[in-house]
Amino acid sequence: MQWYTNYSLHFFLLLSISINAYAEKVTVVYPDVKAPYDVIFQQINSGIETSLEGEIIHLKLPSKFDAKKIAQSIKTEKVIALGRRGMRIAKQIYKEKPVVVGALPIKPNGISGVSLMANPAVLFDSLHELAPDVTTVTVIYSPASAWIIKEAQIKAEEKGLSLIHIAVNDIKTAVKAYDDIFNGKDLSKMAIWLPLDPVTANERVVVPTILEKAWKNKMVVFSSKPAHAKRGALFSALPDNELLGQQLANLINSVNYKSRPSIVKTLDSIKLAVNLRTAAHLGFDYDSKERSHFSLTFPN
Amino acid sequence: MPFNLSIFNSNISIKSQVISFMVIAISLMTLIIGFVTTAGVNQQYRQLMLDNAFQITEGLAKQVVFSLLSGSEQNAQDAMNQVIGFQSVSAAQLQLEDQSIFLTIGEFPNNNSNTQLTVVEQTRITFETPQYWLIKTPVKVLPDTNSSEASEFDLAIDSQEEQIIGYAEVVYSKEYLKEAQTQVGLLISIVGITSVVLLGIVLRFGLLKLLKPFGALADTMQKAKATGEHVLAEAQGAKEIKNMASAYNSMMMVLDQQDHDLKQHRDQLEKEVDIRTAELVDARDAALNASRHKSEFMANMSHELRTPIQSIIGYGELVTEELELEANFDLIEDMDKISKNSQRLLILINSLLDLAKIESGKIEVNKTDVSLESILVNLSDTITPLAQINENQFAIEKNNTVARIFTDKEKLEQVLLNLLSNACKFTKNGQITLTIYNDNSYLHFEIKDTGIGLSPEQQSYIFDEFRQVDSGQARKFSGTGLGLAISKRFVELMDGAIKVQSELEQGATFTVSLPIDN
Repeated sequence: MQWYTNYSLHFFLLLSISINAYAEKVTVVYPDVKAPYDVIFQQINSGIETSLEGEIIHLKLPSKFDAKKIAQSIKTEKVIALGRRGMRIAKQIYKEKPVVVGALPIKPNGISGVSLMANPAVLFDSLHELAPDVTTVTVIYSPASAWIIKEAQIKAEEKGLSLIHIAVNDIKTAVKAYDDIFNGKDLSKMAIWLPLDPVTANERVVVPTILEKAWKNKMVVFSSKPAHAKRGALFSALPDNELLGQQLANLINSVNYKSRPSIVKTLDSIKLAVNLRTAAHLGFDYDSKERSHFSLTFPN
Repeated sequence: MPFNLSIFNSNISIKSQVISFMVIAISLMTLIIGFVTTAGVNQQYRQLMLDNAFQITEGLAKQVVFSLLSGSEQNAQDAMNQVIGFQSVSAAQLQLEDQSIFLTIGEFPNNNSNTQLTVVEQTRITFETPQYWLIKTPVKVLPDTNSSEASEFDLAIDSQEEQIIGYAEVVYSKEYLKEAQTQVGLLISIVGITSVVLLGIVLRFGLLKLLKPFGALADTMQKAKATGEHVLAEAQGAKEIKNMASAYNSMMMVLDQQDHDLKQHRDQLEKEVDIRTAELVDARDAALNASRHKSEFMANMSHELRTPIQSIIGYGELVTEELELEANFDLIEDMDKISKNSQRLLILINSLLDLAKIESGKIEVNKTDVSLESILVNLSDTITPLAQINENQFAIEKNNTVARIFTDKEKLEQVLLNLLSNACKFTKNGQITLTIYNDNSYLHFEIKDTGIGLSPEQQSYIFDEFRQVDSGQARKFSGTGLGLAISKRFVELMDGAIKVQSELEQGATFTVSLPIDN
């Protein structure tokens, strides 16, 4: 139940920060997308609104737009940019005014924000809850995900887990590394963590094979990407959009664009998507109380 | 160029011609349709199999991405076994990016080393033989792609690119394609042949029924032709055949009517002919009677005339003798004239008497064995002085091999004298020749002169009674005009013949032919 406690603590912390926030105007730029994705941004906006007291200007970005012109049109001192389109605006203005980016798996790269990459501690807590026998977590990562590994290593140690982290530069090396894992001997207490990494968690090549082999070897696979639970991972992290909005609102108040390095935070608040069929295959049976904490279950 | 086919032969029935033509046309049509269908189906079947082969190859390429990336042959084994499990796949091969062989399963053909090195960007046939296709497709690592909406949550999507990490090759056998194509061809052939046979049968029965009235009409016409009867046809069947039958029947009825009219006309003519014949018979009988009466009258009259003439001649001779004794020569000359004219009158009467006898059938032929020499002596004695009157030369040529003839001597002499005297009369300063010759049956007397001759028209009537060449000449050349007619009758009575050959101013040749023995 550790994840639940953390969740509550974070909520109250964010709430207090928002109360103390300055009442400054903030522009939120986000993509104008169709359902069901529009709900995500609505929820994030809702979270922002609950944490900011000042005026909030919402700016929807169409699929084609002139980023420079729109950036120039933003008159507020602070900007919260969401999604890839928001990132384009952020790139135009992050050196001039405080900007935080959300709803993207960002890494520290000059622009502050909250990454979609879940906080490893939260993930490990969930792993502990759902697969208590796992003692070793293996993660294969490319440079895109390298920034999270150090934190993950610390958090793993804190949670009593052994984190094996293998750095790769391309998909071929990644696949070989995965193949080596599956060729290993004792896999019963090992879990594979799929980060939000386009190389090591390639949706077309790596993920289906990893999931298939893991199924055969009865290995636990958990993922930072929401959709992977549906595809056969034991669980995956779903961002809590409203809390993400609050996290962004709190971050914008603490960002100083003149100071370096930028602040990139992991997603502290997540929901869980659990594949009950995979769980049953692995021999896990969750009671109704546990299930009540799952935001999504598969097959549904 | 005339379009001539044996099926359009006039000796073959229209039914057979139509059936033959239709069967040939349908066969051709079926053949063309069959050919086109077979070609189309085969092409489609080939394309389907090829699509299937492409899908299998591409499926393999998708399944072995992880295996190629991991470099583990074991990982690819399942996918390869699955592919080789397809009926038409005989072999499969995986190549790495540098086209080195990663894994081969099945008997992969090794005669296409060049194609093995073929770099392909997409699935295609790299080698083809009559037995198989070699299909090659790149094994790609594809970037993660989301919908434009979902991509809003991805950061590095733009930087990901498609990457070829190897190649999958599949040997796809054409054996089943050929088998299927053969089956399709066979099926279409069977269907085509069956269709043609069935259509032929249907056509045969249909045309038999359709053309049966036509045949019946033809039979009726044939019967009408053979028997000559005006048989009517039964109007049945199709409209055109009914029209033909109707037209034929109309024609037959018209012919019937014409026949009826002709019969009536013939009967009427026969009646008229009978009437005319009876009239002619009566007329002929009357004419014969009249002729016989005339002849009898002429015979009687001639006889009655001859008696006083002979008395006149006899008394004239007595008076002449008396005058000669008295030396009254003036009167003697007058008496000579009386005597001469009396003689001529007697000759005329004798001729008329002869003719009358001939016509009345009272003259008789007295045939005896006659010496030709004696006849010729008599003729020579009589004709030589006559010939000299007009300064003609008379000659007799004897080319005969027989010396005697069984005939009526008097009549023969009379005929020859008549012909020779005529020759003397119509020839001046010329030549008159009597030539005698014979063959096995006949003795021929040819009298040839160099006189005035006869035209063809004159030749046609000179043997008629009382006809001379013309009245002008009759006056110039004295005569009764009965000589040739009597001569002809005499020759015919002696079973012989007389003929003439002549041209004007070229003389004339009369030939009398008589049988040697009778």
